[in-house]
Amino acid sequence: VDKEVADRSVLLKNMLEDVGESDKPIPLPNVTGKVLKKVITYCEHHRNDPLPQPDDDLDDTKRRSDDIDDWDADFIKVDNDQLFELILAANYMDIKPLLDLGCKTVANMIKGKTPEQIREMFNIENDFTPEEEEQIRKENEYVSLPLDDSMMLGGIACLLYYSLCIANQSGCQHYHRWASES
Amino acid sequence: MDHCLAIDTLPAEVLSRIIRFLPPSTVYCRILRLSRRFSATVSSIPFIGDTPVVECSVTLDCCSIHGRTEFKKSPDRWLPVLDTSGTGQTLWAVARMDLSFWLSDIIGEGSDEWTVEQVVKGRLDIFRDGYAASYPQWAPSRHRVVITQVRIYGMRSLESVQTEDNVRRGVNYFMTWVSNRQIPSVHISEDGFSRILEGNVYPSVTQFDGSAFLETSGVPPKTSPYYMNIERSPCLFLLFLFELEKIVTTSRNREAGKFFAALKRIAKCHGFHLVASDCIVERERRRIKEGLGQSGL
Repeated sequence: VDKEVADRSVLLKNMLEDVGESDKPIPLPNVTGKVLKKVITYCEHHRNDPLPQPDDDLDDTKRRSDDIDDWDADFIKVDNDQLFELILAANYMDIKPLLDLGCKTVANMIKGKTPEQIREMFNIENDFTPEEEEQIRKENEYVSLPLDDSMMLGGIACLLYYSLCIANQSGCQHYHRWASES
Repeated sequence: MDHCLAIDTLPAEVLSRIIRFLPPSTVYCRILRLSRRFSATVSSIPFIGDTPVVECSVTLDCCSIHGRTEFKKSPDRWLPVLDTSGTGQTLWAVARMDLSFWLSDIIGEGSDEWTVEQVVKGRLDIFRDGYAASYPQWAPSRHRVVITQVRIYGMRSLESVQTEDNVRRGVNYFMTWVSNRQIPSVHISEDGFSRILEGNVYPSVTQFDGSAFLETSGVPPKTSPYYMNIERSPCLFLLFLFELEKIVTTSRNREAGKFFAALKRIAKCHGFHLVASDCIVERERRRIKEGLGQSGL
């Protein structure tokens, strides 16, 4: 592998800098051959990309998960097992763009699914007691509040009426009478 | 479907990274409920959503209540929020992180040192109003907000924040702020929406700002038409004026009319048109749908 390609991995880059010029192989005990091959394919394709900067994490534009380009999207079309292995390898080898690609892919798979579907998809065991589950549900009712259509329509009707009342200041009393009666 | 390797086997830092690519509503509605490990991971993340942690330092002027808070992150996206709530909800909303990125200038007519100090120290575990107490998950302690700079200065708060003078001063300041920065448009709307959505009725005029509106509306920020608008139009200021009804219910309906008229005049002086209608909610939604999110009033 070209040094330029290997340098995509911060782990390898540091190791190469430490050992200097040498033909000795660098051990990567946590990465299987199959996964490494895939990682190398990724690094070769992205060999000319700018290296990620340390403060990239603070850039909110980089927190999007819908900005995966076609080649990457095709590259990451693997089964869950291989996807997690790639993520683990990217994490271990410190290849941030590949790690992000994997994480975005998982995030995209999660979006729009129910907890049950997510558990099923990723083989997650629900180890909460029913009481704990209920507690979590209660605590987060706020974010799970559906915008019920009828409620919305009712709300909009109220708002329309209300704004008419505001346009006619004296109408406020009518509004409140109406609101309390309805 | 392959079930050999579970997502649970990924290290915590990887799980956190995945979660950070998810919108807050997904995190709180789904991820948190998956398993204990996911729940613990979510709790360990300093912020949820698309926004970075706000880091600021704190300088407290003990005799200051009239607050102005600057969050220096992305100057081109600074947004001012008018706040006369006095219940600490703005700071609390800031701590919620999903809003903080957008808040740059908070005029707090009623914010008090106690709240500020508590938030600053990240241990606000007692909330002053029922709503906040109902939703402890937004507590800064949970989100581990790092606030390192909050500048509070101004005048000692009056006993009540519901005076026309106070609001006039606040709006004036706000409008000046906006004008000086050549902001193209200001949307002003009363906030009656929240009460209707959730049936919340508050005893006083406390929801006087965008952040408080989002706090109390029951609309998850990501799905709120206002929030979407903020997202799409960083330079669009959303100023949600008072719930007229609250004033009316506290037998102040005459003042309410004067109040609103005064606001209109102030807004006009600054070249803005104040819309006295909550229909803006629907109008904005349509505008967003039509892809015209940037336009003003």
